[in-house]
Amino acid sequence: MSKKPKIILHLDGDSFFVACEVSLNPKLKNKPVITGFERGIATAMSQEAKKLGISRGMPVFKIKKLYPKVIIVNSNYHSYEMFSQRAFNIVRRYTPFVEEYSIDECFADLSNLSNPVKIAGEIKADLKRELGIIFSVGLGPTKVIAKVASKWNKPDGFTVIEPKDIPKFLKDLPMGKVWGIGPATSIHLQKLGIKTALELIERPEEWARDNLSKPELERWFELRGESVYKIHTEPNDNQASIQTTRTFPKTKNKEMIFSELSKNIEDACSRMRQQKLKSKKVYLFLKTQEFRYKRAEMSLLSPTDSPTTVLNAIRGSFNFLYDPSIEYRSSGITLSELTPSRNTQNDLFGEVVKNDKKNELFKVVDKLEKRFGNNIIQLSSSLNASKKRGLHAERRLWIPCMGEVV
Amino acid sequence: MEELEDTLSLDEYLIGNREATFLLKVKGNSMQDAGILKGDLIIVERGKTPKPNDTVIIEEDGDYKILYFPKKSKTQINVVAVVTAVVRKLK
Repeated sequence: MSKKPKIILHLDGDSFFVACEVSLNPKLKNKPVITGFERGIATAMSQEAKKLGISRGMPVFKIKKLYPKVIIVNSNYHSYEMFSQRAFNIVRRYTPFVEEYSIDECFADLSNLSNPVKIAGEIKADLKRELGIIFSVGLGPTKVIAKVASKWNKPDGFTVIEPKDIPKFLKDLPMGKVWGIGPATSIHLQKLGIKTALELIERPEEWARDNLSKPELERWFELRGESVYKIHTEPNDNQASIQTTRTFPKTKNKEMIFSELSKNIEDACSRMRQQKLKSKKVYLFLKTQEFRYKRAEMSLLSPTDSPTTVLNAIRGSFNFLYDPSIEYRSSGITLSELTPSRNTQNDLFGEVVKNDKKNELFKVVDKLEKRFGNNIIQLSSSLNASKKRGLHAERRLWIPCMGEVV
Repeated sequence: MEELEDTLSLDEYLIGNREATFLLKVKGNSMQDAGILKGDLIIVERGKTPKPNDTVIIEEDGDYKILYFPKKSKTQINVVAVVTAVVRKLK
């Protein structure tokens, strides 16, 4: 299968709803707290409440009667959603490949980073320091294994499962506890004589292909550390991308505006190189003094992380967008269709990129432009681009309130 | 800000780290000389490392308190956030 194992991160908020409440109200710290008063059942429990024996779904009247000291609060989903979005944004500081799996869980692909374990630690620390919320962290070669890892030491866990250590972690793991294995599947596997995850992966591939259903076979691969499930990076239209914008004093000066764009590109490319990514698609916008956006998008011939290549690709569109009678106030670049650097194929550009001589590069770009014309740099209607990216959408910035201070 | 521009987004002006920003309502006049008055709304940033004399929010016995971050302290101070802006409506 794949040559180099992936490194998948799974983050799982510990008692997430309650953790959000505690983050905003220090009086709740270290106390037995549950959310769900308005629903009449416990929707989340603090560690202290769990220790008392309260579990999810337990009726509030019963909790009040049995555990009078427990603090029962209303759920505030708007606030939890805010914390959730902030948490995912914090993860995106390190990689654009983030899958928002649920309100308090996400996957991220850290395979391209040079020190994924250290980065995972930094993400966990950022989340605690900036949001006051503790997430359990799991790292593994597949999504299913990353899930096993994040559950391993919950709460406040940090577990790395390397491919060679997989059997150790699966030895006592009942199949029913594996992500995506429901009671029916678990019974089916038991009939085949498989109770633990280790027993499953010890079966040979031929047996697995003959006896397992498709989802079971997928787990057979994933549990062995061979990645089947991809990270779905489009949560809400938010494609994995790297964006930079710059605001400058209003100006009509063409050179100045182009140099701002050039800085945008340098910033974006340096972030790509840090994350070991290359991009195949560039969006560019100019914002006028009247807050009108002028946009263009271009497909690059092959994925690149070179600012010179991107700059040259946008030059034509910039000339097209720029109107000397209009004052501009900001510019931005979005690089999308990101791929890991090591997977980048050297087509057409290949030889030249290796060469890394700017002049050579310019020559080839010119040649290609002559040869392929508009196929290299494609302008699309600005309206379409704006619709796609939703930059016009007015977004309110909500900020959680931590109450009062004396 | 380097230069006062014609237009300004208050969000961008007042907020640095969006993920770490929270609000608090001021209930007392203890920080009067820092220009923070009773009834003000303050914008705070969590996880920021405070410098001496920064206005900070600390947690003490389940309450938030506002004070200057001291140069030296004998006891450990549990800083939750650094105050980065004050919002006061006049009407």
